[in-house]
Amino acid sequence: MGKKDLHKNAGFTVPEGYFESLENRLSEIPSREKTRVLPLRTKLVPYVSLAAGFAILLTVGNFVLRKTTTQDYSLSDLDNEQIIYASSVSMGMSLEDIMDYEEESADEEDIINYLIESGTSLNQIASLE
Amino acid sequence: MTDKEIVEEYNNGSREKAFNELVKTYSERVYWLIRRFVLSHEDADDLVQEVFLKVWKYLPGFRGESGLFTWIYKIATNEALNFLHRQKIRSALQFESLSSELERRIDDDPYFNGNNAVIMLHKAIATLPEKQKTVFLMRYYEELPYEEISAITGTSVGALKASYHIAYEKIREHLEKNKDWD
Repeated sequence: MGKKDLHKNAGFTVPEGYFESLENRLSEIPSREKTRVLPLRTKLVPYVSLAAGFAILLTVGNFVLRKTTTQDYSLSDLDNEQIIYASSVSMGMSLEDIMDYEEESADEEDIINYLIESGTSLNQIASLE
Repeated sequence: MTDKEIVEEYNNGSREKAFNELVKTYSERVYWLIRRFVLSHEDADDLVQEVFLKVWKYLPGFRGESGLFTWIYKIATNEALNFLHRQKIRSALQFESLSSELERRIDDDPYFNGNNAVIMLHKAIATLPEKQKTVFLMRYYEELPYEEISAITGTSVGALKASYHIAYEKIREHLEKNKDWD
């Protein structure tokens, strides 16, 4: 294996004028990279948008929270429907169950029938009315 | 312009001028170093651009602990080895070996016109493991002193000498086995 026969770049060739063109292309790197560098204002845009979005979220959240927690409900302010709903929810009933329950709510007649069947005297029933 | 002058020019604010000097001084050498690793002209061309892109990017952090030449060669060697590593994975996924893939590249490359002896030599080098290939290419073709190769690769001079010897023997054996070339 003699070096004379196997010259350094033996076997490898390059297109004509390749190294001149390579030098030119490589020399363009600094200006090419400069154009890729974004101005500070552009760099900040996503962060500003994110901060603005966060601020809006905070404001709206705070408003909703205040609205819901500062109202002091008393039991008398609530109608029957609201009480049923609140207690049903606390019992873990679904909205569907609640609606069924509302539809099936006993009216006055049902209550009287129930009292009769349970052996309540008519006098007592009359006093309730 | 010497390396020292280029660095001074850069530090004095003439960054682009200094970079262009670097390109003038080293682009061809870097190309040949990489070409011997990856064999194909197209791949070498892509990698040279990657190397100088990194040189431009990291030049502000260059502290001059090693010479500019050593630093650039280190980047170039890393790029070439990383490329070969990616090729190795790709070849493995296609149930091929990297050396057979590289051999195919020699046969297919339109910018390769060596005689049989040269082709056999390059194919033999392609079979070498990473470290042996690196030291062989830098010592045999670039004729770099072991101390310089040591600074580039971070391997001790003793280990490099041993690797070169093993690489040389492997190549000799490979060429012996394929004596048909003229």
